[in-house]
Amino acid sequence: MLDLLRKKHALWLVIFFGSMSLPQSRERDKLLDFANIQYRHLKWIAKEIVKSGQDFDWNRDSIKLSFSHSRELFEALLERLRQIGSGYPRGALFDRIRHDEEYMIWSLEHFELDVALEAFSKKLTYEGLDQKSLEALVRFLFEEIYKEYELILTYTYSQLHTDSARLGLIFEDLIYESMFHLKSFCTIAAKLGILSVPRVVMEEVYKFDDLKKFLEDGIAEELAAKEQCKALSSAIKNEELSRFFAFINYQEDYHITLMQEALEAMNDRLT
Amino acid sequence: MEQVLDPKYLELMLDPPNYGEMEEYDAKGYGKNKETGEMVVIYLKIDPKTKKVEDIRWQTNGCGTTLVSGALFSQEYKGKSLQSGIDFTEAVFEKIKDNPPPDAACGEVVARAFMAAVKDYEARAQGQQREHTEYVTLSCPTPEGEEHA
Repeated sequence: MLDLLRKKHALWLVIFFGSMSLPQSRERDKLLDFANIQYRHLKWIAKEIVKSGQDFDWNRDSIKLSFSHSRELFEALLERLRQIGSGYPRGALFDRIRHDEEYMIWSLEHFELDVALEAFSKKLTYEGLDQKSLEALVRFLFEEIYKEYELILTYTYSQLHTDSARLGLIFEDLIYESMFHLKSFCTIAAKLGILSVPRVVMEEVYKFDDLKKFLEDGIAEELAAKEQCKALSSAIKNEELSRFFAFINYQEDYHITLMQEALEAMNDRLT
Repeated sequence: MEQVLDPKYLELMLDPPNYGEMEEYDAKGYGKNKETGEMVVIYLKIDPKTKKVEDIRWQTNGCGTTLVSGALFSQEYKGKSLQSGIDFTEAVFEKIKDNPPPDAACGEVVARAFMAAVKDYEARAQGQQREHTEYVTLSCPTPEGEEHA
């Protein structure tokens, strides 16, 4: 099952980053829905592993995507879906997954979008940005895309290992928030031509001994991210991007509140 | 990190060489920065006769500069002698101890991980098995009262 989990993990990422590489279109929306469904599959399989008394990890092979045309992407996704589909065991969960993926395959076979892709081209240009703003933006995107992915995996792992409903709901909120940030940052990265699947997250990051310390460090990281967003918002000479980073900066405030609530929930359990 | 738009630098960030876990290794060491929470783990496969680093793998949760430092270090010392890696890291510590440049902590955490792996290798040779961690101290001092492993 662990091997299957790793393949599903990779599949989720390839579909998600594949969707992000497309221009606004019906196909992009549909692939993003499929990626979200794949994430739920992944979580359900991980939950089954935990229920069986075993543990799981987020290890996987590194993934390098480089498609110059939408057709190449769709073919690669079809190949992955067909390969993984032959390896599912029987049972309610895998029947559901199998039926979901049959529909995904059918949809991909009927996708009509036929466009050149620039998301992996490393063109490094963005309308209205000077060199300094561009450097700041590339650095921010590179670090934050990894960080949001790391947070999604860490919160998911924590959620699947807590028996506190209150903590579980806070982790769920934080996962939604990170999913939105990941999508937003990847959309900008694709415009710059630097879209890339982040590196593997090391086990030591999410298999921590001390959740309290993780949350305290997390609050410090959110404060740092807020500062980066504020700095970007004022440095970038492009109104749309500037307003976007101001908006993300204000979102970080509530992340901090959620993490403080998680800390309170932990303290309440200890008293 | 002004060179972030340099194609070579960008490639190291997007696709870092030798990145990942090693299942069967001769040495494993952690470098950690207590102030930032950054961590690097280095795995080494060492030829027992020549003491050459046959393979090196590494992982980090760190920033872009740490990632590029780890990538360059792994490229440089794969295939070289263990001693040359030790000499290099000692030279790094000497260079940054009095006047650490900005981002020095990112390089130091990689060097610390390598030194921890060297200690792990030596401990294993004596039949000891325990985790080895070295902390960033020169470019980002450890808070008072914290002990180093």
